[in-house]
Amino acid sequence: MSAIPKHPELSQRFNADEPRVDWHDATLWWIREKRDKAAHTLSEDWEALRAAASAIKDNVLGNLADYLTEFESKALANGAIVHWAADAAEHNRIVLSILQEAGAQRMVKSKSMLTEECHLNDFLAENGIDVVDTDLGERIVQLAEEPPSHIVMPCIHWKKEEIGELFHEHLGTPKGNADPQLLTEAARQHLRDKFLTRKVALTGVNFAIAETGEFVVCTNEGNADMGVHLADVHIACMGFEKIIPRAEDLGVFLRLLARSATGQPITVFQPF
Amino acid sequence: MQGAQLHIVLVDNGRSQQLGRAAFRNSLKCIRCGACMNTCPVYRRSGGHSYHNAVAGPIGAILAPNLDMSKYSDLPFASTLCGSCSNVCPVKINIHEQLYEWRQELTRQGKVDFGKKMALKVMSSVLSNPGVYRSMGKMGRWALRNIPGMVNNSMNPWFKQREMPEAPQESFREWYLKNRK
Amino acid sequence: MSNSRDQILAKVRANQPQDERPLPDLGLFPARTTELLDQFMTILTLIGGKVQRVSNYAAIETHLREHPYPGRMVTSIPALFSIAEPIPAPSDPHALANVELAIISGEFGVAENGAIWVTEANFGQRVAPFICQHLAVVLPVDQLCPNMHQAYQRLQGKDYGFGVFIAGPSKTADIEQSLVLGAHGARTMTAFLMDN
Repeated sequence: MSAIPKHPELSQRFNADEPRVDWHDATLWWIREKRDKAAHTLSEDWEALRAAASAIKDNVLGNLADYLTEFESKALANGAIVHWAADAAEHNRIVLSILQEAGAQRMVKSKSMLTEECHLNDFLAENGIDVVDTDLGERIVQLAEEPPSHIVMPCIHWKKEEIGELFHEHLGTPKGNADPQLLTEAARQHLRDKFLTRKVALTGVNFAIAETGEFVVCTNEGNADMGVHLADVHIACMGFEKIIPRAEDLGVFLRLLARSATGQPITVFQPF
Repeated sequence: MQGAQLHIVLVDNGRSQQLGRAAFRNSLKCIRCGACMNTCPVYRRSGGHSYHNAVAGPIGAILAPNLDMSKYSDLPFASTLCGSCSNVCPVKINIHEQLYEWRQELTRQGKVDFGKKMALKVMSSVLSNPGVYRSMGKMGRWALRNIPGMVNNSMNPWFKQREMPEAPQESFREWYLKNRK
Repeated sequence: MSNSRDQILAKVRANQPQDERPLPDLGLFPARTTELLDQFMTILTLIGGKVQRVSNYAAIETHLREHPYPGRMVTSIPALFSIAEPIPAPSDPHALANVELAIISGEFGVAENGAIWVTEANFGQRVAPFICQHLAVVLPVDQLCPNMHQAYQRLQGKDYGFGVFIAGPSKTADIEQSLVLGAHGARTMTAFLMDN
């Protein structure tokens, strides 16, 4: 047996509270059903879209080196600075050096699973940088000092009463109030101040287009845009498999992504 | 999208290695929609933190062992292989097939618990030998009827949270041999 | 670091599959409806947006006088300078922090998902459509395309600088999947669909 707890033991801990497991199960299934309904609204195209998306990504894997260099040269021509990181440690060092160069001790960050994968927040904290996650769900788990439990809905395992308690402690919301409207408003005010005072904003990337050197960051909250357009420096971190060949390929992916994720026809903001 | 000064950081962190694993490279097609998690009967009832990895759920379970086979050797087994993940995946990743592939690969690499490996070896020899299978079946039915505590105890993970079946007097085969006309 | 760059690229080249993997032809996704206006209005309303049919800019002004926003109003549309101040062209974006309503022009809408394409040429300051408490987009009623494929065909070869598809107000459902409008960006989003 290994020292670190593995899936069976960690599941057992989660399963200690059975009504909670039932609630978690039902919530995610509800989202799955929303996905099904959204897919059915495109029933004439859905399977062809999946096939096209799959074929585009297959093509990307087969030509990845060329697409990466194409993206790099176009991005450079657009005025961006391009860095390459072999591993998580190098990625974290690069981000830190950009912050140091900018003379920044603080940064806002919109959702990026890559930075979770690289444990960037811990690394930056050790180096004296204050990072504020601005996606509401990410901010909730950050205040609770735990990692996200889902890549799209980071605090899907949290009950609103617990978030109310957390916000009471950290943001001063009224004790015992678990109204999502009130809690979201409190987070809005709290984070607006961060957006307005930070000079560096980090975002993830959903799709990077080889032929133009552009990329898209999809959000519902608008937190990526609020951070970036109020900052002097924008750091965009991406696993290199996020490359797609052509802008028109976004037609396929943006029809699939939000419908598959939450059942929405499209996320609210797709800037590029 | 572009801010005033834009830095783009392109990160490998094991991706080029996964690209070289023919059986698993399709995992790099993922667009991070989370549909495979929402539909997964294991994820829904074990929670995201049970995957002890940045990306949870079925897709996380095929990405993580690429980074560290020992640390994440448990994840490909956290699945029923029902295939619901592959059915909802918008880029048609064969997720459940890769989970099955990883189980074999991890076993070949010696990353699987000795107990699990032995149990499967025993199971394999029982299931591939009809004589042994029948006598084991007979012993099992007898034990369940006469000393249920030997099977239905906390040592048996299958017993937890499950009603155990009532053991029949005879197997289907025995019934069939008696009754066929 | 260039060293990592070359090593990564060499590794990718060595490990990427060598078989032929052609790109699909995206011409196979035709428009599925001709009722673009109906679909656009239905979807935008469904995702939390508001839709106002108007005949001209004067009608927008009348509407805004009848339904005033309590605070600073800015616009990039000269015809509306009578009711809202011009968005200050590239200055400090923080100067827009107290904007109540921003009114900008949209280039075209997408019927299938209710999104409107806007570019910085339409709103001057990149942060404008995000930082305002409320957002209004004026869209010519005949500038609708069926789906995202046609949308990208329209954008092909255009140099738009910064552009964004906006589909309704900012929102979140991170707290127990309860939908709340106005996460960080605009709390409401109104599309003024204007006759030609």
